[in-house]
Amino acid sequence: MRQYVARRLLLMIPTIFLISLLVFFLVRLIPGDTVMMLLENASLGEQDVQAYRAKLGLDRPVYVQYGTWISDVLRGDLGTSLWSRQPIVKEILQRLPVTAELGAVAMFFSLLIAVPIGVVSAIRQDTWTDYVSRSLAILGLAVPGFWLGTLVIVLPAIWFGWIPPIRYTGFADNPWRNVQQFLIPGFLLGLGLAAVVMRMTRSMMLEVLRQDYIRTAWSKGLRERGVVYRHALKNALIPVISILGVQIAVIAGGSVIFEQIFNLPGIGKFMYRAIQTRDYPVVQGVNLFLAAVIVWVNFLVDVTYAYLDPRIRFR
Amino acid sequence: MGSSFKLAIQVFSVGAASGLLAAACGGAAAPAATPTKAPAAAATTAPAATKAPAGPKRGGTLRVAYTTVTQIADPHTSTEWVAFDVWRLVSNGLLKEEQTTHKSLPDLATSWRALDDKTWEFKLNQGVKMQSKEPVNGREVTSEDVKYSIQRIATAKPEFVRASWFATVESIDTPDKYTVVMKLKEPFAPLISNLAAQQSAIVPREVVEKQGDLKRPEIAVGMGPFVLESFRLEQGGMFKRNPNYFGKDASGAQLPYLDAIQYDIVEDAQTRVAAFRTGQYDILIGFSAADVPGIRGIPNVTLLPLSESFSVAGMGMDVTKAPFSDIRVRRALHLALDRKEMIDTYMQGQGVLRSPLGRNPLWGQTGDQLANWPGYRQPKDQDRAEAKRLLAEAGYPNGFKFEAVTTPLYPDHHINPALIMQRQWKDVLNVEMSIKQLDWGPFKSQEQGRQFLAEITTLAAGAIVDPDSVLFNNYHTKGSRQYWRLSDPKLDQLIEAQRRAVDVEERKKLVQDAELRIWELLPMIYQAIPQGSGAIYNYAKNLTSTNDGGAFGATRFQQVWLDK
Repeated sequence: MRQYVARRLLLMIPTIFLISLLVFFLVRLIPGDTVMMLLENASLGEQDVQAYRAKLGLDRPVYVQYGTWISDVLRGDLGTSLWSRQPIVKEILQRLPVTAELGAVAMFFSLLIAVPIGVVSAIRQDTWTDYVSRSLAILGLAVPGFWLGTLVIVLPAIWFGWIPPIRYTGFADNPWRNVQQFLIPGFLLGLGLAAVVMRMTRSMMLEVLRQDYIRTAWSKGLRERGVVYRHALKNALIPVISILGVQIAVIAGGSVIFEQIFNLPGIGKFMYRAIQTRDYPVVQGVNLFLAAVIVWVNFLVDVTYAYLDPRIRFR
Repeated sequence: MGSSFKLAIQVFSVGAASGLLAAACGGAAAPAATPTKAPAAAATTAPAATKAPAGPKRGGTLRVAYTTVTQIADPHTSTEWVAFDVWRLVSNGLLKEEQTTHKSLPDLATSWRALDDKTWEFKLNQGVKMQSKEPVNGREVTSEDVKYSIQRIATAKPEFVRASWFATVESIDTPDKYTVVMKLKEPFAPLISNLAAQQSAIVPREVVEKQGDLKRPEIAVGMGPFVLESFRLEQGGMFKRNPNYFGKDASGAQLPYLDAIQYDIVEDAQTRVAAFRTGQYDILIGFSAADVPGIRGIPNVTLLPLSESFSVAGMGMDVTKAPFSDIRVRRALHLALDRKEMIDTYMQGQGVLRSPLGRNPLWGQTGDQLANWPGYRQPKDQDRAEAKRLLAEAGYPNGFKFEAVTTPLYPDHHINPALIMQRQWKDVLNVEMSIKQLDWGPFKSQEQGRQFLAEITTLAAGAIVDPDSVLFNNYHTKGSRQYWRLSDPKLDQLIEAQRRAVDVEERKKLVQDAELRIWELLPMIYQAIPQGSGAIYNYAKNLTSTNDGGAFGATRFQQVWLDK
C-alpha cells in the first residue's frame, strides 16, 4: 500500500508539470492582446503601448515568461493579475469557499438523486421504472446547464415574482439566505453529475446483483432490503467513488456557468472574467490551482479505492 | 462627381449651422466651456424621470444592480465606468457636469474665471472636510488636493490614460488654501469640460502614498456624499451616508438624503432583469431592447432613456484601399443604408442615429436635423437612386465584394447592424459584404493594428460632452482611434483650431465646420444604436437620467430619496 501511494504521489509531479505547460501556452494561443484591451479607451501612441507591454513583462519571449512564472509557482506565488495587480493566490482563496460550497451542494444533490434511482433502476431492470430513470439520466446529461439556469432565473421571476437572492451573503452572515442562494444552482449543477453517478450505480448494481454471494443471500431467504442495501450496494458503490473524483472537474467547469448566472462570486466567475480580459496570469493560476486540486482529489480517491478494494494495490 | 450629395450636404449644412446658431443666440447659451456661458439645453437629451413632488424624505438604502466588474478602480487610470462611479460616490471633482445639459458646474470649486487665454483661477469651498476615516481622518480639503489630483491625472506614464487632458497645463499654483491657478502652455478650450468629467476625481494624496496606488476599490476615500464601507470585486459595495458632507440642496438642507447605497455587480443581464423584476433592486442599468416591453409591464416602474451617449458607431473603412479609397463608393454605401430598419426591427423603435460626433446635439447636429440628412431621410428613393449613380460612376455598376470584421460583443451595436447592412447593400447596390466575426480581444487588436478593409465598430467616447475627444481621436491624422488612415489637412486644421478657440461661438463654428468636413470625407458609414435605458421603481425620487452613456453617477445619487 505504501509503495502504491508513493508511486501515485510521484506520478503527480509530471502530471502537474504538463498541465502547467498546457495552461501557460494554450492561454497565449487565444487570439487577443491584453495590453490593447487594458488601454482600449486610452489615447496612447505605439511607443506607450510598447512601454506598457514591457511594464507587464509581456514583451519578453514566451519561454522566458514561462520560466519566470514556473519558478514563482514553485515558491508558492501564482503571480499577480494584469488588471487588478492583486496576488492571484489571495484572489483564489477569497473565492474558494463560494465554489467549494457550490460543489458540496451539487455533490450532495447528485448522490441524493443518483444512488436511489440507480439502485431502483438496477433491481427493476427492463421495467418502466428503469426506462424512465435511464431517460431522465440521459436528459440530465443532455440539457445544457446555462439553458436550465437561465430558465430557472427568468421564469419564476415572471410567474411567481421570486428568484433566489442575488446579492451574495456568506453563510456566517446569514445562513438561511446563504442556503437559499446555493440551493438552486447546487441542485442544477448536481443534476448533471447525478446523471453520470446514476448510470454508474445502475451498472455496478447490475454486476453485483449477478454475483454468486448475492445469489446465496437470496437462496438463504434474506429480504430484498437486506440483500440490496447490506450486501449489494456496499460493493457496488466502491467503483462509484472513483467517479466522484472525476466529478470535481465537472464541478469546476460547471461553476463557471452557474456562478455567472446566479451571481456567486466564486472561482468560476473569476476565471470567466479573466478569460474575457486575457488576464494570462489569472487564467494560468486558476487553471493550475484547479488542476492541482483535481489531481490531488483523484489521488485521494484512488488511495481510498485501493484501501476499500485490496485487489487494486497489487496491480 | 457626387454633385448631388455635395449639394445636399451644403444645403443641409447651412440649415444645420443656422439652426444651431439660432438656438445658441436665441436665449439658450453656448456649450459648456465657460461658467458664464451655459450650454444649450437640447430637446433630444434625456429628460428628467421623476421629480421630487414634496419635501424629500431622509433615510433608506438605494439598491443598484450594476453591469460590470471593475478590474482597476483607480479613477485616474481606469477606463471602466464602475471605477468612476465608485469614486464619485466617495469623492468630488473640482467641477462637475450638469446631468442633461452637461453644463460645467461648481463642485469643490465655488467659482472660476479665465485670467487670460492661458490662465484659469478656481476658488474652492472653505471648510470642506475629508471623511472621518483612515488615513485622511476628517482633515480639511485644500487647493493642494486639487493640485495633486490634476498633476496625478497628467502623469506621463502609460497607465495614466487621460494624461492628455491636462497635457497643456504648464503649472498649477496654490497661492492659498482655497485658490488654484492653472497656467496653460497654450489656450485649450476643453480644459473646463475635462475638469468637470467624472474621471477627474479629487483624491487624497495620503491614500495613494499609503496604498501605492488606487487600484483596489475598497480603499476609496474622499470628501464625497457617501463613505465606502466595503467593496469586493465581482460583488460590489456598500456605501453609507457621510454625515459631514458639505453638499446642500436648494433649500440649504444637507445632502445626501439616503442612508446608504447598496451597489451590486450583477453581470448576467437576464439575472439582473429578473432580480429587478422581483424587487431586489430599485434601479436597473443595462438591458437590451428586447427586455424593454417586459420591463415596461412591471408595475410602478419608470423607464429612463439614458443615452445620447457620444459613442461613434458604424462601419469604418480603410480610405487608402480600393474600393473605399474612392469617396463615391463610401457615399453610395452611406446613401443606400436605411437606418430606420435597424431602429424598427431589433431596437424595437428605441434607437438613435449616429453621426460623426457620435451624436452631440450641444455641439453638432440635433436629432431632427440628422433625421433629414442625406442618407438618413425618408423615403429612401432619392438617396438610393443617387447611391446607384455614384457607384456606377465609380466603376462598380454591378457592385463588388468585400469583407467587414466585427465582434459578437454588444450584438445590437455590431452583428445586428452588420446583418442589415449586408442585406440592404446587396439588395440595393449588389454589393456583397461578408461578415467576419472576431472575439473582442482579436477584434480590438486588428482594429488598433488597422488590419482591416472595413470594420463595424463602436468607438466609446465616454461621458465627455466636449467634442474634442471625438474629433481629435477619431478623425485627426494623429488621432489614437483614427483607424481609417484618414489624413486630411483641412480637417486637421479645423480640429486643432477648435482646441485653441476659447471663444465659445468661434469654437462652435469650427466644430460644425469640422463635422461637415467629416461628412464630406465619410471615413465611416454611421448607423443607429439602441437607446440605452435604465429603469427605476417610482418610489425612488429625484433621480435624473444622464446622457453620458455611463451609469447613474454619484452626482445623481446624492439628491435621490426614497418615498416608501
